[in-house]
This record gives sequence, structure tokens and C-alpha cells, in this order.
Amino acid sequence: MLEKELLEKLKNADEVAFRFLVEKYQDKVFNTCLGFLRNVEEAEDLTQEVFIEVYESIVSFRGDAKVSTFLYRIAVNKSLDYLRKKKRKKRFSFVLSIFGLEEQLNSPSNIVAEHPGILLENKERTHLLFSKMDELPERQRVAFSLHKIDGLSYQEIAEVMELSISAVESLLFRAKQNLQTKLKNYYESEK
Amino acid sequence: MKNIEEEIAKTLESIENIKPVASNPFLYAKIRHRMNELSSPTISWMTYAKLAICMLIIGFNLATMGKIFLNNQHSDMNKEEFGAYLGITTTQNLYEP
Repeated sequence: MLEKELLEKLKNADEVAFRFLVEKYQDKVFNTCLGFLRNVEEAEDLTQEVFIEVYESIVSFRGDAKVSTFLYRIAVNKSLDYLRKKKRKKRFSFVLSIFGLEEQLNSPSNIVAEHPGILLENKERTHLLFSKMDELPERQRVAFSLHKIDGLSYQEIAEVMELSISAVESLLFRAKQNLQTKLKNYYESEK
Repeated sequence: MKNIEEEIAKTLESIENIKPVASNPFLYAKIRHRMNELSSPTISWMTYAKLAICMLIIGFNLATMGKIFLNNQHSDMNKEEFGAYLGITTTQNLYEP
């Protein structure tokens, strides 16, 4: 199905077209969400939400970008929103735990999540890198994750993040530099 | 120092070796189910809202009717007022030729 035809059918709430869209892009969206959340259940839940939002908001999509770009944009925004909410919840439950109102700190949601795509021999390194990535500014983290985990090109990242290619290059350069500094500090403190 | 740099390079490279994970093959069915679930509470919510408004209107009507009924049980009119209400000004008028 051609992109233009798919878009037209989606705008007319065509069931077959929607199914085609889900089946074509579900792995990509799922892996993008998984790259941010690092939890299979949460990523699957969010993938469903991404497609529901696409179904509901496709009417307002002007078609000036690719459908995949539109999907990535929603997936990234939803993942970041989810992480922000989770962070807020964590902070709130921490305050509650101080007053002894909630024992949230030991709840299963706080156990370090597992990304099933991580190779066993790289497990420790990848976890360390993920923890340092979480300390990066949001835009650097998004650009780095889209480039390294999802394998998007600079052009594609620029379209998803609605930035220029040079801005993406700069974000990735700074992300790498920051990560190198953080990792250097970590390894030096380990010695 | 060289050792640390090697470690950093290896750690940075580790992210590039993450394998893509296959998503749930029944994702479409799950999405459809969720969409149906999302749409049905809106209908029931609307129905409940309409029902509540109807009940309120019926309640107010019943209250008004009850109030009218109770108010008509007794009268504040005295004899003169009642006579005037019937078109009789005084009791004497009845016996006057």
C-alpha cells in the first residue's frame, strides 16, 4: 500500500489500513518505547497507546512528513511523558514514605528493568550506559537513543525532533561528550 | 589511563549491540479491544448523566407538587376575606331586603 493511499484510508477510519499500519510499524514503535522505558510490559502498553493516538489524531496530520516519522514522534513524546509521570510519582511516593504513609520504595516498579535485547556479555556495560544516559538532558538523550538504539539517520532524527540536521549533529556530539565525561568519572572513582 | 579510555569506548559501543525485540503478535487485537473499552465507558457515562438529569427534573416536579398540595391543606384567610372571595362583603348583606 502506498504511503499516500494509506494516509487517505487512515483518515477515512479504514480498518484494513489501520491493521496494515499496526502490523507494519509495531516492532519499530515497540523498540523505540522499549529503548526509553526498558520494560517490556510498559513498552507494550505504550505501543498500544501510540497506535490509538495515531488512529484518533491522523485526521489532523497534514501529511508533510512520513507516516513513520509521525509514529516515531508520538512514540517519543509518549515515552517521555510516561517517564516524567513515573518520576513525579516516585518523588511523591518518596515523600509519602518519609511520613511512613507508603512503602513504595520497595515496590516492584522500582526494580531495575530489563531490556530483553541486551546481550548477556554486555549486560553490565549497557546498564551502566543506560544509567548515565538517564542523567543526560532530555533532547540529548532522545537524539542519542534514536540514533544508537533505533538506528535512525541524522535526517530521520531531525524530522522526528523537528530540528535541523546540524542541531541533531550538535546534540549527538554533546551527548557523546557528556557520556564520556560521566563514564570517565565513574571508572576513575571505581579504581 | 589507556585502560579507562578502552573501557569507555567499549561501554559506549555496547548500546549498538542491542538486538531489536519482536513485539506481541496479537498487538492489533489488543489495540482493538482497548479502543472498544475506551469508547464504551463514554457511552455509559453519557447515559448515566442523562438519567441523573431526568431524575433531578422528576424530583423537583414531585417536590413542587408536594409543596402545592401541603399549602392547600389549610387557609390563612379569615371570615371577611373568605366572604370577599365568595363575593359577599358582610354577613349582614345576606339578610338585607
